[in-house]
Amino acid sequence: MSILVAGAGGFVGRRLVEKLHAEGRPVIAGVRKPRESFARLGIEQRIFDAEKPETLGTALRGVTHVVNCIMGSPAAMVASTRNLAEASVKAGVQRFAHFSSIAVFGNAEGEIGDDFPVGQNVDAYGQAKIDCEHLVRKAQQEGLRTVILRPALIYGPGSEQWTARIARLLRWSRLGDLGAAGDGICNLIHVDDVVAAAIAALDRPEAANRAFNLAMAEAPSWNRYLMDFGQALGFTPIFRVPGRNLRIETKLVAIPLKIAEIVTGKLGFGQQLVPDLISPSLGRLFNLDARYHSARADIVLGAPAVGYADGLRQSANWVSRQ
Amino acid sequence: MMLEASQLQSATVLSTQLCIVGAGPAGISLALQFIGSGIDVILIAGGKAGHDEAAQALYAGEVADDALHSPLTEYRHRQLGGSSATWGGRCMPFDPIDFERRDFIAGSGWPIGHDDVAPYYPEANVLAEAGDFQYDAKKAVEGGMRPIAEGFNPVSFDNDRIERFSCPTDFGSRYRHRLAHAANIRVLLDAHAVEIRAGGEKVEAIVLRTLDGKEITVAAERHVIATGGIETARLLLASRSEAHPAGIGNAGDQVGRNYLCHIAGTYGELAFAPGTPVFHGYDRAWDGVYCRRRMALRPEIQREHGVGNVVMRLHHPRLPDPAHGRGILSAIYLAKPFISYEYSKRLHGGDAMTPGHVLRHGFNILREPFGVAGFLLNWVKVRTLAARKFPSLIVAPRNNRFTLDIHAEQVPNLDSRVTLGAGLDIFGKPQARVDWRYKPKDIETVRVALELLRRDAAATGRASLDFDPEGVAEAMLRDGAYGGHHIGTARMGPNPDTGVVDRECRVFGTDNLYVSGSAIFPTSSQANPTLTIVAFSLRLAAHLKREFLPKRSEIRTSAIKGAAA
Repeated sequence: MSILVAGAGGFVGRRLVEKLHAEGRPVIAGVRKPRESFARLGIEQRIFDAEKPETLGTALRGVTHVVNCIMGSPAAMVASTRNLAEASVKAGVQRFAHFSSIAVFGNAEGEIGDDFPVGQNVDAYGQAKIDCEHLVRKAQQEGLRTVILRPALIYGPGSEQWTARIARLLRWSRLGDLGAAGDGICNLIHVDDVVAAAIAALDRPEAANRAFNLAMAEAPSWNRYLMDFGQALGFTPIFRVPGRNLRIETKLVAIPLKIAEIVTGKLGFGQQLVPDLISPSLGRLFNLDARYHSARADIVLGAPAVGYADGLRQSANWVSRQ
Repeated sequence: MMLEASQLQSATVLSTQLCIVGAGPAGISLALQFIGSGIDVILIAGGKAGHDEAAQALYAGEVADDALHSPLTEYRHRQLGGSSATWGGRCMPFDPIDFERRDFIAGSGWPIGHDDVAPYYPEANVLAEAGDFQYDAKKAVEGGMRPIAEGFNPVSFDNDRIERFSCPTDFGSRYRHRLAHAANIRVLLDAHAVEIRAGGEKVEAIVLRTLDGKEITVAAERHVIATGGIETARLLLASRSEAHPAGIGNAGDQVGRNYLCHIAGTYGELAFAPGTPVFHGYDRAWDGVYCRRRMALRPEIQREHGVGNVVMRLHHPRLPDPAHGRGILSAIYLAKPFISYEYSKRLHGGDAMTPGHVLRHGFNILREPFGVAGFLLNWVKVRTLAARKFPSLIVAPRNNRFTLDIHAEQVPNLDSRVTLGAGLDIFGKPQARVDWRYKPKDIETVRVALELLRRDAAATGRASLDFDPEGVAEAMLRDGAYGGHHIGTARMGPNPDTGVVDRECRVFGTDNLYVSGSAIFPTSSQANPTLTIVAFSLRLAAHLKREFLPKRSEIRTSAIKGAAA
């Protein structure tokens, strides 16, 4: 058995590689640029850019299991997934675990189980994730044994989007108790639970050729998460964000921030320079009344093990150390 | 889903499983519990999403004594969210003693105990946005709340039972989107209930009218009246028929009786030694909720002296008298024309402004112009612009001499009544007539509490209380019944001779009619009613859900029997 984690430089990929290595599994980190931390641990690294199929030639040599954690722009994700899946078919890979997202369900509300139809008002990211799933299924028809994982919002140590960014917005009192604007459900899943599910997806025979939602049971409301996390971080008393503030954030402030983000990105400055923006879609997410159920994963891959309180504590400790 | 009643055809009959009449804190809290339950609900709002003069005018009625009770169009808001639109946000639960039968208070005793409602308080606190259900000063704030004054522990009082403040939450704007979003809930706006139709014990329908003259009927399996202490009585009494000649639930002549508010006012002078640090303001809990200490008369002391429940807070001096010497108090006094009726009534008292008064208040302002300006700037920040608002004016008096803000239980009183008046509203429905009365016991509760505080304060050696026992009644009645607390007109009782609803809030003499709201409270407690209104709505929701699922329980019972066999 030899496991290649493609996109090992990313948040989930890195954590997955470290976990597999810690368990003594034969793991190879697939990265675009070699990482010092992997080298220190003596983890084999293979350098490739999955967007360029020609670089994949030797990447899959001897690999029996692939996990696709590659993130990027919609076009990059689709191209990478196509190339990686096709190469995996050719290389006779035994198991191909693919990271999709609950973004495939778009803005659908209500109780969303593993077989809920995808594609309702999805954004570009969600559409790319749907396209990727199609490519994975195509490879499946060509004999590749695949597993599709659709994690909810991945939080915990290392999570830039749902832990670090939220912490910064809480610190600046740009988020807090949102009142009527924060009644949506905050469908979290701890990164360690995601990693555990990915490993189970490689190991368990019955996981093959199925798709799994990954979400915590009894997820809190956004207001609850923002307040609990704020408390864990010690940013108290929690600020009650007036509805008008959030409207100004999403409708006015987000525009110059987005432009600044693009410009500094093009100029090659660090992203840290630009303050976080609260996009209109993030604003809508705070009120999305959707609850994702991971019944299939709970049975086949194992139910999430990290409790909400533990997850918050770990997250707050990690943020404080940064 | 939101529906404008005026958009429906006249004579429309809507059928549903649960019809809730009234969309204030009671009705909205109840409806929210049914989101996603699979039970079809219609929530009737007797007004629009915001204020509307024509709807508000339907509240007009008579008051027996203008000096004792505010006009019926004040302190009440006929709109989605109801009177929470003008709510101050003060939350605290009822005390266990409030539910007990007390020999020294005629008409006291609930058919349920504190334990029956206690499980619902934490969730009620969340809905009211008053944070954690934690009313102990030692625990509400990390490290404990600041003491009123070091060593000031009057033994007859509990200084650790606090009050917490809602944003204050307007239940209409806060929860509207959740109701509008729910597939199984229809909110009928601007629909005015004129009659509960019942041929016998079964209520068949609620008859509604719209301001443009349409008649709409809602027929439900179960109906809940949640229209507040005054309108609930009015609707029950106005629903007279052959089967219910005295109105619905009124076979025992109880509807509208025992109309209670609170006995409240500011009085006395509690003087701390000059220089003693005294704190009478707010601490903030981790969740941002404002918390404040009160002095609550201990239950064993209430029993010992045979008086009702009462709390006192340290308060700034009364505004109208410029002798207080504080610029900010004078500024607020002079701003009277810009402050809403509900708030100005108690702040300003009934005194007329004279030129001499105005001048002296003006000098107070000029004595500390920067202090006043700074206060006002901060007020804009913590009150006007804030979503969680600083709850009340906190101004330390000069010379450490505070007055006491007193809020006391009013004991049950059969002669304090809401009845039908002679006037009719535009639908021909009789208007309400309020004849609020009090008993000597109500004044005695306050007087005894003050006497005890005088003795206890002196014993602490930290403060002394000065007050005239003869003046208590006048001080407590100066502003009449405490506005906005409309309690007891459909009280919970063991039987129809002493109550209107049973322990599950079902109206006696009916199968499927319930009441939610402070109308059901047999006694008034020291506590402001909103939090307990919400808690009782949650309790009623739990009961109704059980009622709606008899089949499942029958199945379970038979399954258990089957398994046993």
